[in-house]
Amino acid sequence: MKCTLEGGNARIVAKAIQSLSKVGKELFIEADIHGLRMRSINPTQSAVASICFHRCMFDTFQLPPSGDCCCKIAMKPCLGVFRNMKQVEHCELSIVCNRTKFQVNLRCKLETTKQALIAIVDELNITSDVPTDRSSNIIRGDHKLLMEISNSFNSSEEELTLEATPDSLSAKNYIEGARVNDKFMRSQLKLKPSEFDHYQVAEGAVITFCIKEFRAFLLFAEALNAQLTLEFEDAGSPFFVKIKKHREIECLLILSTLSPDDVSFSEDYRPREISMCNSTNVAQKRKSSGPGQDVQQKRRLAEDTTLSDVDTALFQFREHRPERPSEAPSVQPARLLADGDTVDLVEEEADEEALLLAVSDAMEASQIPPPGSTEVCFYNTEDAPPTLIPSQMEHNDDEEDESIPQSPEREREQRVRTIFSRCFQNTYVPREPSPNSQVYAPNSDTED
Amino acid sequence: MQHSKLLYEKGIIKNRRMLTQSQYENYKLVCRLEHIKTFYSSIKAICFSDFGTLQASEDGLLITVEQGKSIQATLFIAPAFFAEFKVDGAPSFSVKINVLAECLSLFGLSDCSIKMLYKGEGAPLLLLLEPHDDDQVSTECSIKTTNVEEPMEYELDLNSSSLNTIFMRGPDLSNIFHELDKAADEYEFTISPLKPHFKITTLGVMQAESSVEVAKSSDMIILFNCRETTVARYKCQQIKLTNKAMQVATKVAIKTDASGLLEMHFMMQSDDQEEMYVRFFITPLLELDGN
Repeated sequence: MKCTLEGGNARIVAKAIQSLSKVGKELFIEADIHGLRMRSINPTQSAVASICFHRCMFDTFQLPPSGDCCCKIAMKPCLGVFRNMKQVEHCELSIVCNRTKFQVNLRCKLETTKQALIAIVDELNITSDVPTDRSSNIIRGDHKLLMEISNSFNSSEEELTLEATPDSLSAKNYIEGARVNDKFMRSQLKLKPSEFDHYQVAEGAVITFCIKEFRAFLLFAEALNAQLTLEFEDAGSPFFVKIKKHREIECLLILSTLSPDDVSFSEDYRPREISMCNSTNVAQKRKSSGPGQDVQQKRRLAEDTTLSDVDTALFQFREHRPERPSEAPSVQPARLLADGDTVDLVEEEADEEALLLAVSDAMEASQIPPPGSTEVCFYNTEDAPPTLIPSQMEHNDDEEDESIPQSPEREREQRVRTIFSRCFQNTYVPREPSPNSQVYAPNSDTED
Repeated sequence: MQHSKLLYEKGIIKNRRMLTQSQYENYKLVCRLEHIKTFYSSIKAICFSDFGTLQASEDGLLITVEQGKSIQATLFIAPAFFAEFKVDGAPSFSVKINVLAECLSLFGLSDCSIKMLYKGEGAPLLLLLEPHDDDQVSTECSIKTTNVEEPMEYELDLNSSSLNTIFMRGPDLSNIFHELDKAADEYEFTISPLKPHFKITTLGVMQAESSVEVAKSSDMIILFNCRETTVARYKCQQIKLTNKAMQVATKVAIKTDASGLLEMHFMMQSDDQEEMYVRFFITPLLELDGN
């Protein structure tokens, strides 16, 4: 495979690679009769970015006799080669050495030539079976507008929630009804449909996705000075971001969104949509066997955060702690859902953890949630809780441990806690009644 | 003569130079610069080792810094560069080069005039700095000197058949080096009468090899004199030590021969077009058999 580009187009390719580098650590390059395609997938497989350069962007475009080819190379050397493109007049990309190396040849001003040979890791390719044209909600806007939306939120934010109704679009950094830390600042940005170039929202939809890859894609749109099209169905369905420039460049970012059952997520993905396939045998596609099992397995491998086992799904909670391994307290037996409004928030070591709300309303007293999960529970202030109080729990558990036996209780303290129970808890009552949450017990706090 | 200062103040002696001579006539080295900017950046460029050797002679001042017998940098300043240059014999001594650099930067970015004095063996090196923008302030530094160890004499055989010389524009070469992969272990320099004329390859990076080539007809090459092809490898860290000099140099001369010894001359030009040179010698990495 060999193709050449002139300086300006080479700079666009460099910008594309820089954006893709923010998504994943490896670059998948595919060439066929339509043109050159570059793809990247993020480590948790929750986002796939693909940028296609049409054949007309290239001065010459030669394919191997088999008609198409693809390769996977590490992203880091690519970044090094394409870092400084100001002096480049001509660029040549080719696969050499019997398909083991990817060669980049840059002819620069002052008769300087830069050459790089990057080893090809393998010939895998990413494919996704997701139909991209069937979304019912389509919003198209200029990159400037979407950049403003993205810049309105802190750069350390990880998720973005878009709530689209036929009349308005809100961008938020929280989800309705999620229990969050006292120090969490909620931001909301509301936009009118008239601000967008095209706004088609049939029914309301709320989607939450990881903002990091979205921002990386926005950067590329800015470099191209193009519009972005956002297409989505509803929570849980994939979210598509498309950029199209002059028919020459087509970009697609597929992001997975939080399912409506989850309240928040640290890493969320739908691996069933995305499969890795070997280019030599296109017919064989390995799909993940089922969403649940594979999801959880891969998660265990991929991250350090604790998982909740979906099988004991009555309590579904995950820790919102993307960077650090969890240091969850030891296990508590199941809560009794009670009349009290006090929420027993499990205290973590770090204050900025976002704790999740237990969604379920069924509980078995005997059921023990898996170790290492955060729990939120309700209990009646009058009843003595039969189990541990937060402060007695260990804070330094390994999340992979089996169920940890409870520490023995202290009766005296139990009584004290029963009587002065509210003194020992972090009470948090959300002010905003939200449609998504269920009220399990009426508010009996006399102060409110 | 000892009262010459007094006489000067009284107005009887009008020539300030007489004053200097009288006070410092025993000193082995007296030199003065009106602007230290170029001198300071040159000293910083060779600041990679602890001690530097200063050798003064009628031909000028040489400051040499060495590291491990594999890299040597020498700063040449001709007498014409100085506003005043007086030397008695050929004194040579060693000082801590980074202390010298720090003393030169005592007044920060403001330009100063400097006077360097060295009485003789065992005496400290005296620096008198006076900033131009403030008459009220001046500083005197006294840097301890040690006995000199003769620096290694490197020399490229000028008559060698494989002597290759390239003169390049400083900023352009600096750009090229700046863009080389920093993670590399070694750089391989190839100079050849055939294509590629001048090529630097980075080696030692996982999964990637990269190289930069410049054709001899390029505008950035002022002179290209190549007889035979030479290929040699150098440690990346040592080449990086030339970075500071390369960033401020106006012209760079690269010379090497079949032995692989690399000689790089950096020409630093001051505002009034006077020049001083920094010369680096870098020894090549020997190829192990079977590599």
